[in-house]
Amino acid sequence: MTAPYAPTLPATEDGQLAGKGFFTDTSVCIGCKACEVACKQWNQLPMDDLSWDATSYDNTHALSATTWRHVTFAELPGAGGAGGQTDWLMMSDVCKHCQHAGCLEACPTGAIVRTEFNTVLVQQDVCNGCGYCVPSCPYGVIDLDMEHSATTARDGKAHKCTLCYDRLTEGLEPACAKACPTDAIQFGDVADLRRRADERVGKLRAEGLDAYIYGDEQMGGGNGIGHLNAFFLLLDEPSKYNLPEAPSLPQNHTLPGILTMAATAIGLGLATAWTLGRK
Amino acid sequence: MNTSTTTDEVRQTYYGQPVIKAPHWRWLVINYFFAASVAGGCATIGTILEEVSGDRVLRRLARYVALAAILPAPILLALDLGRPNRAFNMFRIVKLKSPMSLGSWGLLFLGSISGLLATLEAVAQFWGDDMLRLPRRILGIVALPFSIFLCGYTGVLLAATNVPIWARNYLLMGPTFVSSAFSGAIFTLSLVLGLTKKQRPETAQRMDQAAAIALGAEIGLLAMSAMRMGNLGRHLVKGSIGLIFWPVVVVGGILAPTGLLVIELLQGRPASQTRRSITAILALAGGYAFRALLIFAGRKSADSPEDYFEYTRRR
Repeated sequence: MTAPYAPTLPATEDGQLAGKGFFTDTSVCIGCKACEVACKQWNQLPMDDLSWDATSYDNTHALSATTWRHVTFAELPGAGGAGGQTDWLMMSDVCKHCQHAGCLEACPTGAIVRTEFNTVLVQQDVCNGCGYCVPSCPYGVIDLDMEHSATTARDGKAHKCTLCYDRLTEGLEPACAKACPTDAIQFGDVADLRRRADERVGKLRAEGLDAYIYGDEQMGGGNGIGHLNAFFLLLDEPSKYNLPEAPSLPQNHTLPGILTMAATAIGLGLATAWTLGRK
Repeated sequence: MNTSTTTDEVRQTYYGQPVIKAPHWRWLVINYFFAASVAGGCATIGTILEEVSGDRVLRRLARYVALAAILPAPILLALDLGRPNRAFNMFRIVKLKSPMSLGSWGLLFLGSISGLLATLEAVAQFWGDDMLRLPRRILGIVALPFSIFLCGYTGVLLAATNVPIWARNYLLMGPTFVSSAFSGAIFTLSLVLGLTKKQRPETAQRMDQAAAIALGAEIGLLAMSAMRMGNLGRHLVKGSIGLIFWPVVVVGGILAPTGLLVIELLQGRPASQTRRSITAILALAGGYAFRALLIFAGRKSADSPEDYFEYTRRR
């Protein structure tokens, strides 16, 4: 029997979980990729350069500027050990729409904004393709459209999941959640989704599974990022799903970095002044 | 297919797939980093000379070189965007937490002030040094925070990402870039003075002392950085990048110039112009290679899931 699950609802500034998000329950994901297809279709994203890398059934490999949902297929040796039955960890990965998003904080043009749905959106007419958001995302989500010239006119701008902003404004749920046949992807108010997720985690733990939420202050969020509006129920370590355990907001480094830089410059400036100004 | 290898890999990472995405930056950005450091360093030294030294030739040269170095900077950045007219979007807003936003504004301000200062220096050159001295001094002081910022903000810009090799060393990236900018600026001025044969012996020796101090700081900061980065720093000091890093950056770019300067200072007389030029070229090549290799090491670091998991492990 695993330890009892203690829900840790994250608190925003006003103490409420506002806005819309995704709850991706990997315990019921069957790896059908309907979410990937629906996302591509609705958002008119070009096909990927699909390749077989002899690892698993994953042929898109990662999220990219033209792949906004990506299903991971992690094969693990099951109870039978090597040569025995294989355990599958399947997860539909997506932009996390962080409470404090590294991409949004880094964007020097203001192209990346927080919408009225508390989601993170790239305004394509403002993005200038500087690419600073790319290494600033702690989850490797956002990317520049630089590599799909064979299938589309590349624009060199940053792209990622919009949480179907256009559908939301019309009262529709995002295409991936709509298409998911097992309800592994659930869309709704983040507070409601968290309550549902906590119930689900409690149920799975009672059944002996080591389920937990990835995307709160304890796991996956925190360290300046806060909670994730698109969060996950996981059954194994985050690294198995290619997710970091305790990422941090990179902009936490800006002020300390500038202060140490300024202190060094002042010291060297005084030493230079003393050297060059001596009589 | 080797099943056991696949199983081992999946236990540690997701089939070796990178977790984060590497920045696209290549030579345009590397050249910008170098130009910005020389511009910031020369502008800073120009202000210092205005306030504490009577060497008008060196001060004037510092401001001319600062302008010459800063002029290509925005062009390099605009070209990196792919469509240069998009560069104007940088000036829609100011973001205090984004080093790239601060750097864009810093570049704009320092570029403008450097243009004005170079104009005032030209006026002083032709109509006497006292001509418009007060506005020159005021502009120099106003430029100082921007020039200092340009010296080292590129290091902070790298540190404020999730790339393990940069982010782990976030407190020392800015200082290392600043010390490299100071030494780079002094050596650039020394090289230009040598070429124009306007070097004054007493100033030459003082510049060498200042350069030795900056190089000494760089040595200390690099040693501390190596300790701070630990295993995450291996992309810089080992492998194909390490093969260039040690001979070009550490030995050729720092230790050799430092040794030559120390020998000269111990001898108590300025070195020959040839030796001074060789010292400057070595140090400048090292400073340029340092920035280039750090960026390429960062790309490797970002592509390593093991490194990112180590960097983001719960402590």
